[in-house]
Amino acid sequence: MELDELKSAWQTLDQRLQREEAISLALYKHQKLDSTRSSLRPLHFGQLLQLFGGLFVIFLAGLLWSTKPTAIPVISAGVIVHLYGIACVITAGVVMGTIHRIDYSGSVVEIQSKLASVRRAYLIGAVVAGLSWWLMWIPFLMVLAGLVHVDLYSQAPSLVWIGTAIGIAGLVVMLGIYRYSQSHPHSRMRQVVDDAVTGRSLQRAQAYLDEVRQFQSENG
Amino acid sequence: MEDERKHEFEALLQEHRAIVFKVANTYCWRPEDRADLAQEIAVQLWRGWPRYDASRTFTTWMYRIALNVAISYVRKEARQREISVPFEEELHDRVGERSGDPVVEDRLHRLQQFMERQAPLDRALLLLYLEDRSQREIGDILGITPTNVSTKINRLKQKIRAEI
Repeated sequence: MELDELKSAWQTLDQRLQREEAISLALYKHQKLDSTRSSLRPLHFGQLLQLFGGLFVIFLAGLLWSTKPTAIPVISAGVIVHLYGIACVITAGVVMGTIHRIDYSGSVVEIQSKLASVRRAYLIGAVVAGLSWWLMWIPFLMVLAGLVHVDLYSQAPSLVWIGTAIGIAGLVVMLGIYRYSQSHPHSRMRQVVDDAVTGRSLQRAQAYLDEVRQFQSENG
Repeated sequence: MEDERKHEFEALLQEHRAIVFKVANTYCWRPEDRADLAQEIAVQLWRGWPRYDASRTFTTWMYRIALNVAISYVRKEARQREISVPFEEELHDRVGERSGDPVVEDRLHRLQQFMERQAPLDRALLLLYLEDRSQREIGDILGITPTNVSTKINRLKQKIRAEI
């Protein structure tokens, strides 16, 4: 098909569209402009989950402080859990705020690139936050024990040390598997690790960011 | 004052409403998706309206928002469905009634198939090209240089000749 025929086909489509507009415009008029049914919140659920999770952790730490703990290990665990909760709330808030402030009247490449970058940053943060639970469960458990006035470290130090050793070993194994999979790009292991550790969402976000950058830079 | 701005917005939206529907039609196949996307674009246009700089072209501003919303919409849809939806005739409920002219229908069919094969950013370029927008305006809307637009359009033309 020649280009003028293509444009003529487009015009035909345009004329048909004019007839359909009446229906669609009526729909538009019947719905509120401030509808909250927005699809421009690609991370909405994850962010909210992280935000409330962070608030819950801060709440737990707050409960611990209300019991006025005196044991140093309990206080240390409380500080770690409290900081973790604050970090969760701040990162979720920053991402939500960034997305909310994005002005969609920017150029397509600029906005799509910004959205993809935010999404990628968020997903990397989520992976880091997830992996940290190899160790985070220990202070978390110590805080829960502290709420009932039990110093887990003095009562069962082996649990804390063994838990820490297992956590570190877990992280090292994860790192080893990750490195091995990255050095064997065509292996089944690579695919499994990419899916499980980095997540498909992150790969998609990265691929899309690359696509936008390529679209922007491609010339000649 | 607010009412005046609202009326001004509604008048401009009414005047250029075809842009909303063309963009929605370029990115969505099902009538319900098209209506959703058109609605979403209208919402974002309204939200962006207080920041609209009247010294700039309204249509350029409108295209930018409409395309950004549409691309984000299809990205989200693709994520939700885990896979991108391949072209399947029965799934793609197209605009309007058939003309009865097999030549016209064939052209339309091939145009639609071609559009659906393009990546979201390339589809935006194709839409603007078919709309006879100047290279400068296309560059302004997409955020790429006019030279880049020219290169891409040449490639697009070759692709059209080869594929359609």
